[in-house]
Amino acid sequence: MTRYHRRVHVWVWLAVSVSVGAAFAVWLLSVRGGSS
Amino acid sequence: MSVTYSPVKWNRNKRVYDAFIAAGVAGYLLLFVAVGALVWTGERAVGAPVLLMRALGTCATVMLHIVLCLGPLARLDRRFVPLVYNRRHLGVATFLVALGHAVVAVGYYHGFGALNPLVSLLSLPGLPFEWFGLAALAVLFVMAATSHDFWQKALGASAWKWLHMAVYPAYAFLVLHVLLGALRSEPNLLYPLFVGAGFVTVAALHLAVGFRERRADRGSPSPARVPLEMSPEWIDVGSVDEIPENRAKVVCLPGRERVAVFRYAGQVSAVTNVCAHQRGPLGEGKIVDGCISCPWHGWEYRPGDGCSPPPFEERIVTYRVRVEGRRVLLDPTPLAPGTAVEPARFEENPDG
Repeated sequence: MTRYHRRVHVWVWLAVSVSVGAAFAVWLLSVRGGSS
Repeated sequence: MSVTYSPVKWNRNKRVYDAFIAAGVAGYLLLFVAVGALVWTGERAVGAPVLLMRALGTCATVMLHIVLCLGPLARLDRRFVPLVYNRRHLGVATFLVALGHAVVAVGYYHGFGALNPLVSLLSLPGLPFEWFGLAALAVLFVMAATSHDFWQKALGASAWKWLHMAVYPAYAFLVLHVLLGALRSEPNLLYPLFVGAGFVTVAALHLAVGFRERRADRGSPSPARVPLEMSPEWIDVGSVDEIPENRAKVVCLPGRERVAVFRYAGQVSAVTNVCAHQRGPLGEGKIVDGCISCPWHGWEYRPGDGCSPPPFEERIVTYRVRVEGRRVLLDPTPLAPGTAVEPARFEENPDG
């Protein structure tokens, strides 16, 4: 990959990680909310 | 490589690869349905459409994880490189399985009302989880539709690569679809653990490759290491003895671009590390029959001028090199793609 593709690769992965982390947080809150 | 386009240029490797994909998908679906019918009984019993929907959905999820893992695995271990060769077929198969899941799900949950099933799906209030699945499917469709070399040529290699990086957003949409949808009312912790393990695996492999390449790039030579008597523009990339015959040493230039310095038949040539096809790492390939062969799909370039052998017309950037004693010196100024550069010659066995 070119250096630009590599750089974007990193940022895209960061965005994916944040999205997945947020999804897990929402899931955890909904499960916790449902059990209380 | 080919000078003409056909839907699929079949060869033995592709047939074997696709047979494995078809057998793997069929085996997974059968196993899932069989186990699901045994496990989900009594109050948790589900009908055949739901079982099929779950089987197809989880199968597509597993396949997307494999697609995402193949790239970093091939960088970490050369034995995985052959699996990258036909990765696009795996990607298209992933889309088709995901499409099957979508058709069954939309038909089952939206197909029995007065509204058109798609209208019904898109009329759901708020931000329903189905939309994330639809977004993932849309991205996979665009990637599958443009996966052929024709589109790569039509869009240009760089634009095509940008477009196909959308596989990462597709993965994020998929995880959102699963976590905010099917698993939101699922009391069994095993399923979210699977999703989490999948993410950790994919992320860990990418991080491992990223850190390894960063370390390698930082270890690359800089112009400051060039002896004073030499021109400061030339970079000392090391000894010819460090480069295996018909292989390359990859160096990272100060501007962060990578160059593959090949050694072959008493000569040294330097070209960009980026293949014109899918941006594969040329420096991890080898010279076969006098041409640099990309490890991903076998695209070939002559080391002396960066041109593909006739009748092909692809060209890559070349660099000037010279050998002083046993040291290889590289001019970091990139030359226009296809520029012929006299290979630097050296004595194969100076002691012999």
